[in-house]
Amino acid sequence: MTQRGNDLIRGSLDLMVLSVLADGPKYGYLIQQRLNDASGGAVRAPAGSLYPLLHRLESEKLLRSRVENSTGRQRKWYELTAAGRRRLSKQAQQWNELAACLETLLRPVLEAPPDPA
Amino acid sequence: MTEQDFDRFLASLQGMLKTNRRRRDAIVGELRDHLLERLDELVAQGVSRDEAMTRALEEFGDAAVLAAHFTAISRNRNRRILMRTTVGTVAALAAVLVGVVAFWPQDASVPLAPRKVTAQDEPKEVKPPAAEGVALLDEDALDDATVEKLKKPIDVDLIETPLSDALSFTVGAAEVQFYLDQRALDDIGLTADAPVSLSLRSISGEMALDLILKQLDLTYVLRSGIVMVTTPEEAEYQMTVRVYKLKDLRTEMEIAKQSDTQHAVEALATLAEESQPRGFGGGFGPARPVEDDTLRVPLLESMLQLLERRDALEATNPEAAKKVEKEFYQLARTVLPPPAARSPYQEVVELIMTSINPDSWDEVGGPGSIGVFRDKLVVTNSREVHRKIDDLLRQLRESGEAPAATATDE
Repeated sequence: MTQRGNDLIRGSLDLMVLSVLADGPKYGYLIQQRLNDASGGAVRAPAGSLYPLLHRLESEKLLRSRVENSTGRQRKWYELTAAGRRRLSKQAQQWNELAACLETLLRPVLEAPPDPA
Repeated sequence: MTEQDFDRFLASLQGMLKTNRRRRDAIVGELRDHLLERLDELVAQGVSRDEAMTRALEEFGDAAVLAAHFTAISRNRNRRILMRTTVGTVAALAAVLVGVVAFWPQDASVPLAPRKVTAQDEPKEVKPPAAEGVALLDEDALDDATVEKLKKPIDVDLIETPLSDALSFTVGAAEVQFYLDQRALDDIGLTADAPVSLSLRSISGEMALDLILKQLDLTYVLRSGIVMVTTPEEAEYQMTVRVYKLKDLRTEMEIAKQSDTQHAVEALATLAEESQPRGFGGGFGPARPVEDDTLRVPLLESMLQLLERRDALEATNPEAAKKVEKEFYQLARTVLPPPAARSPYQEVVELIMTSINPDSWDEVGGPGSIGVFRDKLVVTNSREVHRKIDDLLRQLRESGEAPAATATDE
């Protein structure tokens, strides 16, 4: 159960990161800010999870990166690869379908909480 | 709370990252940027600098946990590459064996040459050993033949033609076999019926193939002279391992000997200063470096002595100087961590990684790997990359004043 919950969050965090990158390259901090802003503060991707995740997506070839040294710091910009883009649109659609399905199933539950009797 | 706390955090993270130095530095550089950016923002919001630093670090969490996450990724990456090269193709394995045999020093009398002996073997059937590297060269020769065939000009007139037919008309017409990687096509929702259009007179088969596949975001790789049509992602998995002999490039390296010596001394000095335990990156280190500092320091000293002796001998007795240098490198292999940064061929490695399909190397998240083993270059990458490496090494040999006498056909 816990495992499944974690997978759900992990899976959706992947998707969230991919979608944040859909409109152009960003570095880690920007991605974090955007996730935070987009969710009204509900999604917190701590650096400790975000960076390993970014590196994993990169090693899966869904992202590519380049390092910019001009600021005197090493700033690593991430962007979607073609495969990343494909993954994003595929998963976005899956989520859409899943959400629609859950919506149908959950509506009665939300509208009338089940009576224990 | 001072800025040194950032550095302390990053240093302890660095110490715990079990990956190669370059990747480790990249991770630390990236995280430092994040910390500083967060600090700037908090300070801009009116948080005191001390408080801001504490909060930035707290948000990061524990260095050990973070390091464990990164290490897991790095391990997966290595495992994946290993899988690609082992499960990937038996042919690749055969190629390594043949490659090793082909490049084994002559005096080692080819100890790896497999002797096929079966129950049915009659003594009279024992053939003289096949020419070295036959299997490897065959593969390449087949590919080369295909490349030649695809150079012939053809006329193409395709209108909304199914992909498989389009390939028959173009590649097939050039008497080249092709194979559609159906599974890879499925992955991106394509079938062999996907329509393509192309209407051009006397273009090369290769160009036609490129233009057709481009329309569907596909690509191809050559395997045993067969055009395998697949997705770019899948193409990257079609990796083979090859061994390149670098020995004959060495004479050119001698020119840069002076700076080599300096590099070595600098490297030795830094190494002696560092007391931190070091991880071993990937690569093909022939021996595990000595870790114990009480052992290492005297070894480093003797290395320096060897260098001095070599420099002293250089003018009077170059032969002896060379011998001393050999000793130095032998010792270096046991004392210094694996070759990457220290190999005399590092320049070649860098050159290859920057000039040949730069995206395809594992340093930047690609599938290919490259390492130096003694005077040999071991490369895992696509056949296309191997071909380019061949070209590059040939050009290096031709352009340099390196005596061709030591160069063997690879």
